[in-house]
Amino acid sequence: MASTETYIAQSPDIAASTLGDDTIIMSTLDSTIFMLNSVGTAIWKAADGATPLSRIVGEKVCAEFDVAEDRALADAEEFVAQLAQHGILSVSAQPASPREAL
Amino acid sequence: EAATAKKPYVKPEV
Repeated sequence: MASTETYIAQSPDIAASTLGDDTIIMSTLDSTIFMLNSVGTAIWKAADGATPLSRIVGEKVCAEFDVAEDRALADAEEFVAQLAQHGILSVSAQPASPREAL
Repeated sequence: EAATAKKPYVKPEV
């Protein structure tokens, strides 16, 4: 039973900075400011376009935070959809090539 | 050792 993987990558049209556990992101397209909390930051940092979301949740979120994997994955999928809607994260069913991931 | 403690989870959000 093959399930489809989700690959997430940071948009090239953003500037991001980490402050403590949080991250501030500015879209250079319209200067909108976004702030991510600590768990959001863990997902954001791992969004390299080549690592599937399920692995990011298992290896980053569940390793660092006290949470069950199924709950963390459901929350992460919702979070990723929000970021994609704002255009600061791209979501794909295929991993990005190494050139694209840079 | 109890270095191994995990941080409390919060739902990821913007």
